[in-house]
Amino acid sequence: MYEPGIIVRRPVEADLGRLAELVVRFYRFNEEFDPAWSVMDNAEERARDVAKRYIEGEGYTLVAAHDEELAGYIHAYIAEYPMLELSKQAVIQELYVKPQFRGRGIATTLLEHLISEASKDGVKVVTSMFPVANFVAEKFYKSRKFRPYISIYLREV
Amino acid sequence: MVSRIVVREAVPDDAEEVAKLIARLKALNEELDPHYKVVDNIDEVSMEYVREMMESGKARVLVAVDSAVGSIVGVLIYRIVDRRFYVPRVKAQIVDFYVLPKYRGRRIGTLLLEKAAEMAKGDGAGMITVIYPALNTIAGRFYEAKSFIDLAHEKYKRIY
Repeated sequence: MYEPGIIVRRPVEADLGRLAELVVRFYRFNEEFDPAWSVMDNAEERARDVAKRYIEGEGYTLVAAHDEELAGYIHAYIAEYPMLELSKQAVIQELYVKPQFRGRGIATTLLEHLISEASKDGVKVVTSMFPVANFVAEKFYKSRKFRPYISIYLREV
Repeated sequence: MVSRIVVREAVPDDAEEVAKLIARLKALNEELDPHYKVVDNIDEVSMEYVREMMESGKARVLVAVDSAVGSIVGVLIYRIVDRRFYVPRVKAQIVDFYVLPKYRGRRIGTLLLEKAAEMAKGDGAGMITVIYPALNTIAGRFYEAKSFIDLAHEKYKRIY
């Protein structure tokens, strides 16, 4: 499903502020589900650094642009597992669509574009990481044929 | 951990910090359900709302303060509602409840709720209820764990 007026593309320099805002919103949403995801006090400042790296080409990053606004974004990095047959994996670290743009297939479009780009680079598996309690993300990925794959346990030291 | 958290009724000087928490709560509701889209001037509206609640004789604003740093880390607001046709006639209805994520899991929500129940009794309430967005399952799980049961349903249909 493609939303009219939405363009999926790589982020550019002019997107910096808007992409940083989306990064903050992604992490602020996830911290609601688990205190271990609590964001730094200077989240806005750090998000600008993160967004800058994404714009410069770190991993895979795509944005969904709507006129002058960014409706959402997706970011993944490559994880290498030399002992596994599925050695090269794209890990979706962040996927976020602003609430007012939800329900229009934008997240799905971002996901499909990312899968398409990654598969051209020899990636055979796409995974996603999010807090265990984030039922919104769980529902989204399960309905798009993802299944539980790795468990991560945490202990604060 | 809990020992350094103080739960008390908010004072006028708390309004700004409380308003920030209320704005975060509303933003969370928007994330969980786009039908709760917040207004553009949410910070300003939250401030106005908090002041109204504090000055109202029909509501109470409780805060949880981390005494080690002197900042407000949680808020609970309840209104006193007259249930004219039913017994008990007066209820305390929690309309806003939020604890900062990094302070969760320390029973701060429980402390706020216990304090609210105690104060509501003093306000003449015979029951305590809560209203929150249907898709906010974070809240849903909390209240279920505290033995709250369904009392009413609110349905939604857009007409413009």
